[in-house]
Formats: sequence, structure tokens, C-alpha cells
Amino acid sequence: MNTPKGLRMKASLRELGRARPFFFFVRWSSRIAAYPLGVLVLLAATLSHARASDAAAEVRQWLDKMSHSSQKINFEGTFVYRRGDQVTAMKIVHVADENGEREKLSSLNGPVREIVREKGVARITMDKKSVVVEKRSASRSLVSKTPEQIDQIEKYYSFSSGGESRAASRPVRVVNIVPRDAYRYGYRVSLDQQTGTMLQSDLLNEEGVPIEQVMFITFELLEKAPPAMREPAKHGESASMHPDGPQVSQPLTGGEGWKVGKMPGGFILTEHYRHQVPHSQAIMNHMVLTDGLASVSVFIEKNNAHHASPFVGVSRMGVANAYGTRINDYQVTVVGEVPVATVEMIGRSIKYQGPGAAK
Amino acid sequence: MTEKLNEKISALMDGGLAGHDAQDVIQNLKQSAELRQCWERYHLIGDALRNNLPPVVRHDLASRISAAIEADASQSLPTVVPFVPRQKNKPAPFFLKPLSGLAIAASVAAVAVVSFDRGGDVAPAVQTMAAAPAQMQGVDRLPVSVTPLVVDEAAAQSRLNDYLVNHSQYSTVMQGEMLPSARIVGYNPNE
Repeated sequence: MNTPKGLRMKASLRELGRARPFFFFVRWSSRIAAYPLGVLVLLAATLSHARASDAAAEVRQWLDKMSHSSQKINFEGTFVYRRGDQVTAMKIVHVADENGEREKLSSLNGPVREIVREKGVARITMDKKSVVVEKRSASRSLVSKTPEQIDQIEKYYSFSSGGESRAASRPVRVVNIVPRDAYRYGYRVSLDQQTGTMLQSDLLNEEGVPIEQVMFITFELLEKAPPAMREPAKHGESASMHPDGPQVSQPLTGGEGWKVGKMPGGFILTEHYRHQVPHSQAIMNHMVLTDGLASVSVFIEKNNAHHASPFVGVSRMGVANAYGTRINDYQVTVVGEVPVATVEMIGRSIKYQGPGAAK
Repeated sequence: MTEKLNEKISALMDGGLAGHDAQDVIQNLKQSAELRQCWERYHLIGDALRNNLPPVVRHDLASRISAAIEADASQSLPTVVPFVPRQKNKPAPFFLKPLSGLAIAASVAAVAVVSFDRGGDVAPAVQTMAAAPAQMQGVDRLPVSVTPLVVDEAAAQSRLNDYLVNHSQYSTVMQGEMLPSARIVGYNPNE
């Protein structure tokens, strides 16, 4: 009874034997290529040293162009969003005019999901429910990065040009952003040559494998806002659609006694909020840590009957990793589009040092 | 000898080995790092043939888990969720997946890799082993307090969803708000 199973496995192994010609090729090619290769490597090293600074400067210009692009243009486009084996087709309409920036992003397949953003307020409609999330601080993207901040990012990521390519039938410039350690993911972005808009983006894990991809299929510049987007959204009206009402959040200056003891190099605590959870007395502490590109959120909530489900250990939510732990009566959850090692390091280091903390 | 063992490992993997034979192989697996690698490789091959490879294959998974367990054992471990054997066609709640992996690793270090087989079908032999860790004679057990974790899934889910939305709202991004929006719209909480 056992033998056939074993044989089956052997047969499977034989099937894999097809890979052999490849190994043969490698052995053969390495022998004849060894000498010229050495010379080439030396040469390339010398040349690349001289060119590295040029390339980095060029890439920085592109990143700068990208970060400002959305403030100036109106566009409409469709793209696919892929994560793991899930693919969603989406449509985006972006408007930047005298009324400010507005954006509407909606899913084209599966359940109707939509996000409308304007002036730091996002109305999210998902699976027939809506929430309004207000973001008090200015949008932080590469937009507000000073050259010094870009220098800081470059300590933890290396920028390089990936040459020219094409996306949504438009010529693009490819930029590689490679992390210098294992605590963050890399990016490969394709930027529209004309406007700097990101038309393709890959989030790459520790092994350089794409774990999340955005790829525009169509991209069209618009002279002015399309009729549906011409007027600023009336949030007073839309709020009535949402029984939960907006989430009230206020920035904090102190840490409320909670401290992050350890985080990977380059990460700093940039913001600390208290969110009042809608329709409850519960307060959610929210700390935002960032290395300039990647960001990690730390959520701290007191456990109560309403939230009696502890989350301990590592989990995954979409492309984000999460690490949960309990400290005294509190649930601490760390969430971010970063490797597990990062959420875990941060999660394990969180301490309460406020009034009443145990010595 | 090795040949025979390899065949037995393969059989165990396919669920064709039970009782004393299975115990035997597990004992062998426990003692030989080489055999454990073989076990790991067979799973990898099986996954490859079934076109079921994860995006990333870490060859040192078992040793990293062992190292993590050792590191954890020296501190006081938090609650560990007991492994709930997964039924065919009935995927574990997303919430339990990684945790159950940890639990099985804690009780049966030698076959830790098994629980990471994310395929829809878990080999029956593996389920038996996982379901009866106490019968694994001689396998080191960690002195951890095992408290069943009663997860109100809906509540946990909605809470994690809240976190994800808030995280996306406040996170630093590459360009504007597009990527965080796409992450929320493209997130399937039931996966």
C-alpha cells in the first residue's frame, strides 16, 4: 500500500528533472564567461560609481514630479488592483481645480465599493454600509518631502532608474525603490512621462516578489472636471446616509502614556490620535509611525464587553501584516504594509508608562 | 535505508501511513534534520505540482519556527491558541490561520511545517497528528498555558476592518490617496 505512494512521489520527482538542461547551461556558460565577466564587473563598478549620483538625482526628479502631479491635473482612468490571487478592476476620477482636489474611486466588479475624498474627508461605501472618516492633518505623501527628508528616505531605500517602458499606452519612466534592510518593502513604480502620474506600481516583498500591483489600463487627461465631479460633494447630506456618523478624531501631543520602545531604523512616530469610536464611549489610541515611505499604525483600545475578542499573534489583512498583543486590559494591534518582522518588533516593544503604570 | 524512509515520508504525507509506522517515521523526523528537510522538500514539490506554491518559499521555515519557539520559551509566553484541524472545503477563519500555525508548532515542533500547508486539502495523516498532540511520545512540549481562545469572529473582523480603514486613512503613501483607497476597495475581509 505504501509503495505506490512512494513511487508516485518518485515519478513526480522525475517530472521535475526537466529542469536539468537549465543547470547544464549555467555550468557551461559560467566556465567560458568567468574571465571577461570579472573584467566587466570591475569596469561596471568603476563606471557605476560615477553614474550612481546622476541616476539618483534623476530618480529624485521623477519622484518629485510624481508627488506634485496629482495637485495639478484632472484625469479619469481604469486600473486593476491585484493582491495575491485577488484582482479588482477599479475606476478613478481625479479633479484638481479652483475647488481643490477631489477624487472618486470605485470598484467595477464584485460588490459596489466606493471612496470619495475631498479636503481630508473620505466617504467610504462598502457592501451597502458607509462610513465617513475625517482626516484632520494635511495629506502626507511625498508631496511635502523636503530634500532633507528624501535624503533620510535614501538611507533606508536605494533609488534607481528602471528605464523607459509603457503603461496604459503611454510612455512611462520606471523607478525602483529598493529597501536596504528587511524591515520594509520595495516599490517599482512606472510614472507617466508627461504628467508624472503613477500608472503602475508594484509593492515588492523581502524576496523582491510583487505582493500588490496597480496597473492602469486606460488613462485620460481631462480638461475640466466631468459633470458628476464639478460640484464639491455635500458632506452634510451624505453624512445622513450613515447612521454611525463621522468618526471624531483629535490629534494628541502627548503619548497618553503609551510608548513604542523599539522600531526599525528610520521609523519615527509622526502622529498620535484619539479616535472616538462611533456610537460608543470607546476611545481608540492611534499612533502612526513612518520611515517616509512605509507606514505602520499602532491601535490601542481598552477591552470591554463590546470588544471582547482578543487578537494575539500575527495575522494578515490584505497586503498589511498585523501583530496583536494584550497589555493589561488593553488590546494592542500593529498594522502596516511592512514585513511581519517590523510589526512584531514594534508590537513587542509597546509599553504603558503613564500614570498607574507598574514599576 | 534512507530510500525506504523517504518513501515512508512520502506515504505519511499522502496520508497512507498510520499507527506504528507513522510513529516510527515521526520519531525519525524528530531526530534527523536531514529528514525534516526532505519532508519540507516533498511538500514543496507537491505544492509545485499542484500549482499551489505560495508567493514566497522560505526554506528555513521550520528552523525559524523552532528558533522563535525557543526564544519565546525563555520569556513567558502569551496565550496560545490550540490547533483546530481544518476540514476539507471549510477553510479556517482567516483570523485563526496564522495563529493555528503557531499552536501546532508549539506542540509538535518536528512537523511544524505541516500546518503551513495552506492548500485546501490537508492530508488526513497530518490532521490526525495535529489533532492528537498529546499522543506524540517524546516530543518536547512547551510549558505554556493553553487557553482556548473564543473569538467572536464578526466582532474581531469588524474591528480589524476598522483598523485597516484607519490605517489607510492616516498612512503615508507614495502618491496622493490612490493606493490607500485601492487597498480599502480591494480588500476582501472574507478571504
